[in-house]
Amino acid sequence: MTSGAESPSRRIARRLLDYVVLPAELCEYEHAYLARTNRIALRFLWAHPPVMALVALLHGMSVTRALLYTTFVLLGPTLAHRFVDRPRVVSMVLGVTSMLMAALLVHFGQGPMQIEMHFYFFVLLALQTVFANPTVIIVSALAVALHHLVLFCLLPASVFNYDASLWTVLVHALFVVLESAAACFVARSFFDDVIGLDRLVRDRTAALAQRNRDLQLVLDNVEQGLVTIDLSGRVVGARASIVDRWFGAPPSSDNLCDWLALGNREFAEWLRLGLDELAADVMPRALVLAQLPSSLVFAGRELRFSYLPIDGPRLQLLVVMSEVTAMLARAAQDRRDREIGLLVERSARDPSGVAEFLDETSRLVRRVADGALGATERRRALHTLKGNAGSIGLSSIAVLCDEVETRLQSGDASLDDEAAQVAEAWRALHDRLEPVLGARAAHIHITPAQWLSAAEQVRQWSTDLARTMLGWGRDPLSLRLHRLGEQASALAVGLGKPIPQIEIDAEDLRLPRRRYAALWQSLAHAVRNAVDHGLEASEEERAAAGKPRVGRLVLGARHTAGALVVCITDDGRGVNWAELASAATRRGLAARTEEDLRRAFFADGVSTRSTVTEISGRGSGMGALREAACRLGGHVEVESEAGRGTTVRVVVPMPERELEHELASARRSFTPEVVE
Amino acid sequence: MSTTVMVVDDSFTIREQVSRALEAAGYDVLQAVDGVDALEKYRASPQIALVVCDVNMPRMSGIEFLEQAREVGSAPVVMLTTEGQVELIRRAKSLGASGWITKPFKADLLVAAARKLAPQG
Amino acid sequence: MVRVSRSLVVGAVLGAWFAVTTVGASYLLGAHVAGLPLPSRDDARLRAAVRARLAGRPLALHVLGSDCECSRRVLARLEARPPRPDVDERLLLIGGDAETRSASRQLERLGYSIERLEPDEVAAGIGVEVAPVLIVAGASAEILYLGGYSERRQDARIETDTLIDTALSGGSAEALPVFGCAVTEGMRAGVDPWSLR
Repeated sequence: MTSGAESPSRRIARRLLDYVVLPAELCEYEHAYLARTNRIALRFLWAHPPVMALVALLHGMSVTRALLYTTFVLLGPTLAHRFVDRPRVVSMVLGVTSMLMAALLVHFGQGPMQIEMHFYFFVLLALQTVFANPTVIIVSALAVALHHLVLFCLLPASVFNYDASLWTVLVHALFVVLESAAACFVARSFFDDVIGLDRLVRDRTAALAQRNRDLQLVLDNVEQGLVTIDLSGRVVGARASIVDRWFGAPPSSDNLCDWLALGNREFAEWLRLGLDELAADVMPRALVLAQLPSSLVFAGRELRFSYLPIDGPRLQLLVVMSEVTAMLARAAQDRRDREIGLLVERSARDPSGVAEFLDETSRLVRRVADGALGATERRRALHTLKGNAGSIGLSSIAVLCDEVETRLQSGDASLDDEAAQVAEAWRALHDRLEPVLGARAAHIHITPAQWLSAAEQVRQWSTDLARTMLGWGRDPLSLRLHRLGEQASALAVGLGKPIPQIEIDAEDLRLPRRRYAALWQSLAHAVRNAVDHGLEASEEERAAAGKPRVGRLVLGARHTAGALVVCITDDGRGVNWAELASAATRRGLAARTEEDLRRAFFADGVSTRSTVTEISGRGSGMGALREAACRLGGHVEVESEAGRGTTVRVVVPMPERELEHELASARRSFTPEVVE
Repeated sequence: MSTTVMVVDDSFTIREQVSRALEAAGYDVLQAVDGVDALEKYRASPQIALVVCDVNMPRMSGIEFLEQAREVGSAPVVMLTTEGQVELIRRAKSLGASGWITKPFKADLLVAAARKLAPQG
Repeated sequence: MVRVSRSLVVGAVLGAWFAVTTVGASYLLGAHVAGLPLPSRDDARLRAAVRARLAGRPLALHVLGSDCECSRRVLARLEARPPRPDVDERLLLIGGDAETRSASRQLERLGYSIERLEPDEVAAGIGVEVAPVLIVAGASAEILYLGGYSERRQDARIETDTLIDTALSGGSAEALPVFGCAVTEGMRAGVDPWSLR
């Protein structure tokens, strides 16, 4: 039922009904209360017959009738009390009975006191608030109304003349309505605040239980250990389940100190001492809290403890445990990375110094670990190691050595074990340094000027040797092709296509940088074309065409017959020559012969794509490639078979040039370019 | 008249740290370098309202000082310890020490302890 | 099954109880809120009865019943004062129990003229079958007042003299309702058919 659909009057009526009619559920307390109240009310009503007889006697009415009528009226509630097991219904019968009693009193108390007798109606109506049920009051009032209604319906108007008393009835009715309204309010409040309180308490308890369940859910899923303890260390209330996972089942004492003592006695004792101190309240609380143990190493974990006081009738502490193992590991890793960074940086300045350091350190570590040597010698090596590591900025090794020294001094550590630790730490660091610094250490570092002048000098004895030396300053072909391959992979990811298998097939050849820069750039277009148009959109499409699921892109380059040949081959869909022909025709190009079509393939503005993407489709990419090749005196070729793939070949002459020329171009390539 | 605190520690650095913090908080500070020195000064200056005493000292340790200090006066004694010295602290407490402060300490917490144990007049 | 039938029985009994008490209460209520019926002022029997009792002066006729609490209260009021000098004040006692008789003797001594009628004579004799009723007539037998003594049944004030004064001075002819008893068997069967009152 939606309240929005209700008319205001209906809503008011419903609210009124909700107010008057109690919730159907009868709580235990109400049950007991009504049983008692109904019993007392019944006894009270049974006290009426003698009183009524007396009243009748005093007012010259029939005593017999008084006794008879009251007894008959009492049959109803007596029966209900005995046989109806719904106490609220019994209350209603009692309510109606009380109204009948009032009516009888008015009847048998006729005479000058009759007005006073009417008070009894209002007294009884008010008394009905004890039933804590507005319905009882309403039913009682309605019963009285019904008596009048029946009278006016059945009264033979020919016999009686009641016009004169109608207004008094209406005044009475108004009073009854007023009193009933107030009595209903009192009864309902009585019910809500006292009698139905049981239910209220249960509802609240249920709500609280729900909240506790919610809280437990939170506690079961937080990464932090949350435990509330009192000052004896006893765990109070719910706790995060991760605590149990960390420390196992709690001890029977439910005491956190005992619990922690299972894993780390020292920590537990320190905590116990601190809690005692908190309870003693001699020292400032902040001081004691600050001095509670904060770091627990336990079963390979490192936990950070913090304590929040919870003020209440008795001080409690919320203990927050955070696992910092990973954090510390990360911090250590960061420190190591920083160290390596420092060393690499240093190596750039002073490669030989660093290389020397690495060798020397490895030698020292071996000495420290060498069981054949005397302890003094090994310790001396350790000390030297510490100094060296510190001086070059490898603080992790320096600190470790220092710790080892301290432990060895205190005498409770074996040299072999400690040495193994140092060796392991160094090995780990060395493994990471080696690929970076080792390779660098194997290089010779000279400046371009030194290199060129050396080549100049060598030239006097051997032109070939000078050529070889000049080649050192050029880019290896394979590097260029690898870059193109990376572009192809990135492109495939960008297009949402499967990444093709990329094969680099390059001769060990070095090319002058500047001369071929434009060519390499336009070759990127050919790679784009291959990935975007050539290769299939999905592995399924390839599988359907009976091809291996993963596409293939071959980037090849070799030096043949005085020319550089670069091939870009894919095993994709192949060029759709028919479409190309119509595209060419639209552009007004010849498209009759195969030769025409090949030309069209490399023509500016011919694209088979109906939509232009940011990657390809503008039809100018292959044009640029052709132009770059032509500028170098070369040409482009394309071979494609539908469904089998496409090969784009660029052939540019690579003439043997005068050494003088080569030297000049090498010099140029190592001087900063002036941008015009 | 300001309140007097005796600081007992063989370490000059610690002694100075404690003294400076307390002096900044308005206390009069009397320094002693070990238990023997402290006992002498305690006898000579009965107005001492609080003793902050190191545990490990040459000649006479903090524990020994505690044992004998009871006969000199009733000023509360706070021990300076390092974390984890549970047994020492229990022993000190059984000898009447009011509490302990672990090194390294925070000046404001030290001062808070002094204010609680020896309120300034 | 037993339980269901028992609750049915209990429900039926309680329902019957409720119906009976409701009707009974209404029945008793009727006597309190409705006045008893009177003949019209033009009733021939009434006019004849009044005319028969006129003695040249205005007449105040108190029709009282025996075994009738309301009538007794009127009697008690009348006992408290001598008959009015300006009207011929008469009592018409219908039936009559010992108490009423002794009271009427007292009134006789005070100067009231008392007339006794048996219930079966009343209907034909004066046409009034309920009591207490006050009839005030002018010297020429015109009915000036015909009605009860109080506005409401439980009204303790019975302003007999005011009623007579008003009637004589030609004031409001509005009659007060009659709260009391039927004095004839016929009327009794009409207003209390089940003899519950």
